[in-house]
Amino acid sequence: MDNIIEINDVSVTYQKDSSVIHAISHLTLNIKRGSFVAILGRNGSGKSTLAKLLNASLLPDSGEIFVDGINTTNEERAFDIRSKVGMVFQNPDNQMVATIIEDDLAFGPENLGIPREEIRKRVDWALKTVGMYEHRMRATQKLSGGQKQRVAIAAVLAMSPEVLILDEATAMLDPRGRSEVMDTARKLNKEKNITVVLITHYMDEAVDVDEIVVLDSGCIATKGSPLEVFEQIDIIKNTGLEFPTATETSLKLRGLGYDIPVVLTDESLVEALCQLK
Amino acid sequence: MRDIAFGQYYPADSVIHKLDSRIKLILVVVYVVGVFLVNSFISYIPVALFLLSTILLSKVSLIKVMKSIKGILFIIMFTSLLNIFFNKVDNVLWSWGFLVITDGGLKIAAKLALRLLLLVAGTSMLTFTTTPMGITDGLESIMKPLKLIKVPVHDIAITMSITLRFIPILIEEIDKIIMAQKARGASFDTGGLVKRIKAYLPVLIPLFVSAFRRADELALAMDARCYNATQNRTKLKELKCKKRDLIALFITTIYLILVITIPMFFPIILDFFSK
Amino acid sequence: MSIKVTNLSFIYSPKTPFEKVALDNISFEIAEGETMGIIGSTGSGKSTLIQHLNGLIRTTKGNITVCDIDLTSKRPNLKKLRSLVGMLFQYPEYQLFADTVFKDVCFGPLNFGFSQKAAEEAAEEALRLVGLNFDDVRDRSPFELSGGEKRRVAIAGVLASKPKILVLDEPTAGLDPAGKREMLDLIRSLKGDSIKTVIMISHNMDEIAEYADRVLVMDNGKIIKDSHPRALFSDISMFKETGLKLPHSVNISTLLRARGFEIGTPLNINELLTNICDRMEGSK
Repeated sequence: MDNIIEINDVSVTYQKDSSVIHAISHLTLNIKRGSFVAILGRNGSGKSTLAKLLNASLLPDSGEIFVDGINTTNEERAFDIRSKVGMVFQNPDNQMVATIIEDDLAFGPENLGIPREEIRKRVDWALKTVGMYEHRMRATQKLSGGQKQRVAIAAVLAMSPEVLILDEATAMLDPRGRSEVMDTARKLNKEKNITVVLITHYMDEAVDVDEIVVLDSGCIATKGSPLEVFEQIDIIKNTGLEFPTATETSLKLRGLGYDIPVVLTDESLVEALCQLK
Repeated sequence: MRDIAFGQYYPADSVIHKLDSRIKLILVVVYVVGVFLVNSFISYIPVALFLLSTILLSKVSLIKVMKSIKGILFIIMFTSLLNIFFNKVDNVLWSWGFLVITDGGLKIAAKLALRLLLLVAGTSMLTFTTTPMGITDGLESIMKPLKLIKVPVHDIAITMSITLRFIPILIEEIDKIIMAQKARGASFDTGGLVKRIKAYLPVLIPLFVSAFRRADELALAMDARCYNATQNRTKLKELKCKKRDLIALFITTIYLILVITIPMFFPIILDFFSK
Repeated sequence: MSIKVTNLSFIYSPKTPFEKVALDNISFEIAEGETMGIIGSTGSGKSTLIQHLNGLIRTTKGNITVCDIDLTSKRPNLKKLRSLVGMLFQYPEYQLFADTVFKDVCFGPLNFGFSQKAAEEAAEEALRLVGLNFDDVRDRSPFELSGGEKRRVAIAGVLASKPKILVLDEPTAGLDPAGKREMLDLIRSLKGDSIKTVIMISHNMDEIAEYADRVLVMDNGKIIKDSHPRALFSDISMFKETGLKLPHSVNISTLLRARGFEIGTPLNINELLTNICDRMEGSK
């Protein structure tokens, strides 16, 4: 697998009350094409700054970022990058332009000057992919939170992106809405081979991803598979994260001398306990 | 506040929905001109007929149309009362102190109330049958000649569309903030005018802060979706005049002629039937 | 300081084609000292219910008595009621408005008739109570604080009026894991001295299982269950029907039960651990 995103020694700083703050500090990271990556970290750790860097909304003060081989500082290609890297934000209400769902989906492709017949095809395809096709003529306002975010994902899909960034897109949703969004993201990753970058505060959402990147004060505190990351007890605690319940239970049982593996999900914990019995 | 129906799209599969939004905009203007040209009760007949047939053709439920009127019922009643008491024309029907009701005043009030009703019901037919995007697309297309003198027609259109989208969201937000401040003991309905205006500061400031935050986030989201990527923006929905649009235009012309001429012909028609 | 609700119903836009029954003949009581959790899917009537508790929505059908104030009487003393029942809405940081944190927190007590001096004392106490450095934040604009700090200021703004009952609508929504933990610890620490009763709406079943000592489950405007969390989570059939999720500890114990491994119904990770260890004794 090649890298869809390459981040080389990137720093972003800003001024606050006469002191210089490093939002991102000498960060180097590659994201493989077609992978599902979760970015975790407390508020202010640089997650959203990183997201903005990936679609050229924000340019690094030093270092370089390549999206599908294009340098994000290349102003002429900024819109190429944005059509390759789609973003879904936290508040579903603040990212829709039109009142009617299909009109909202058309906004991106219209901006790119894509021919009408092609827009029609893309809009219909995107709505079907997220399971909102039968609602296409409804008002965005009447949808549930989960439905709104699925529409926002479809709006990104209509631009046929390579990467989907979910920037705390589940934070304002109820549990049902959250699983709707997560199921959609997983489906796009598996079936359409779209690279997903998931920024979240919910550890449950990160247990089955390909790679977790933990940010702290603009640096990578650790990264690896979910198991590799959640095994590092001190780092998880010091970066303000928490363990999935099953993981914490398995770690504590190991601490008490039980011979069970570190697990990530309720199901695997139950499996491990039954093996032990 | 939340159940104001005015300005909401009512999806249905009808001839009126399918009309070119530019034609619908023109029709509404003509209709409104018609309403203002009315000077006798008899001329309300073509206006009412025109409106009623539009409603029936559009498949929008009558209840929904009534609801759009409900929002301005208070204004209508208020202006009617003013008109009843301040117009002292012809015969006095009733008087009590300085309050006088004349039959002329009643007539004027009734005409004005009818005019307002027909105006609101008619214009809301546009928003019921046309998506906000359709309306803004139509306006953009009609205003196209202005592009020549460097008016940013597209930006104006998209701004309008966004405004329409955020009105219900902000109304809901106002409701929430009012509740939160009431829970902190704020009261909005006591004291003099200055005190009341001051009482609304704890609502207005959070509202503005939130509106700016929303605007910020929306701008970021629009940029992320390549807003302004090209001068040659395309459109999902093409505006095309079809036969039905011409028929609609033709019918509307007849409507306007009727509104103007009916008061002249009415005596003749009456004459004809009484013979 | 108890709450008694009998046969409460509420309909939005009544007698129109758009009427929606938000509350359907609800009755329950909350005694002083309880921590009550309210759960249910979005649109089940939770928010409408709590808005009744301090008269933000006027009762039209049924009876509510809160702290001996009868809300169905003709002119209930709403000021007194609202000072007794502190209400924290979702994302309460969006209600901040004053140019300094201190003034914002004083807003409530001043509205409720505290003298300037008493209000300032109450505001200072409240800001310290929520764990903010008073001297550091008092003259800062609430809008330049971090998200977590803003929420603390908003809570202080409610606490400053010295309520006896605290009602919270999803107090942890949108916070990061550490922020969530701190918020829940704060709520737990608040209960006792002046705040006697806590009512909390949450979508997070782990929070409810851990913190509530009684749970109301709402569905379509009705209360479909009113019980202790352990009793509630022991009967999982309801969760399948309403689409609510089980807390992780309960989910694990349920999965274990299906494999013939009984560990009861643990409500938090410590109980889960203890129960597993008790059961595993000897198999180390």
